[in-house]
Amino acid sequence: MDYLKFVEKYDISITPSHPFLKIDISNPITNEELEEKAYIDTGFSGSLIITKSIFEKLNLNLIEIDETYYAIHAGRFITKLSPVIAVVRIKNFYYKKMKIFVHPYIDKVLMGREILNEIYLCLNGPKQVLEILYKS
Amino acid sequence: MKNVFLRGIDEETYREVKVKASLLGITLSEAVNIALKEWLKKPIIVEDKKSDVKEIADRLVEKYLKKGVKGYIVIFNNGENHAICSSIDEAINIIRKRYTEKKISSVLIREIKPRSIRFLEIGGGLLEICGEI
Repeated sequence: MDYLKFVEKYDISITPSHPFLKIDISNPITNEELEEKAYIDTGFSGSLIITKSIFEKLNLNLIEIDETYYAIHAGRFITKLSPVIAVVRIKNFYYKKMKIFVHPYIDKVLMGREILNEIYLCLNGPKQVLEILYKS
Repeated sequence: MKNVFLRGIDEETYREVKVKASLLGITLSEAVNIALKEWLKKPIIVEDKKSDVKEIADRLVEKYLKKGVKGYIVIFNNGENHAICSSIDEAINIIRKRYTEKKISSVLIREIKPRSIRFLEIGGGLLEICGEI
């Protein structure tokens, strides 16, 4: 089996630069889809944090889950999250319907360990690129 | 150490703090400093008010639990009507069907079981939170 390598440059508009992956998030009911930059957050134990604006654009109020989740930031700030079901796709090697979370204050998408632990990912800091190996 | 004058301190609390401080052999300022440091360690919880539809969901869960029903409740249009299904995939199919019939504006899915609280730790994003608070 051959492995293919996918490379994404770090976002250098943030100091210090931040690795991210371009992903597609879609509503499983309406099939509406958005491409977003998901910033790698190995400190996040869940799947994906999305913003209120993405929630509204994708009409994810059509697939909200009534479960109580709280986000703990630095062990101090606790914020209530709204779980929704969405389809997360990374290029042509990752496609999954899963529970993701709407955060009321964060204004960027964060990708956590629940997804990161399923992919072979290398943070090549000196070259400022994120590399992913996947089966062809 | 800074000298601070405070208004509106509850008299009963003040009296109790004074008594406890003298029993412990510390000054009132030391007691206040200890209390403030402990208070700073407490987490700040930012939470929205519970919505009406979630109260409806709680009532429905209670009703179906008594009947021994298992699965998920799909609540349409803020509690206008609901359906029972056995899995999330089945719920998605029901919602899709109603969506194509243009019958829904919002949907909440709730598993038929008592509400539990789960915590997720987040590394990034704290700068945005601090900005809001």
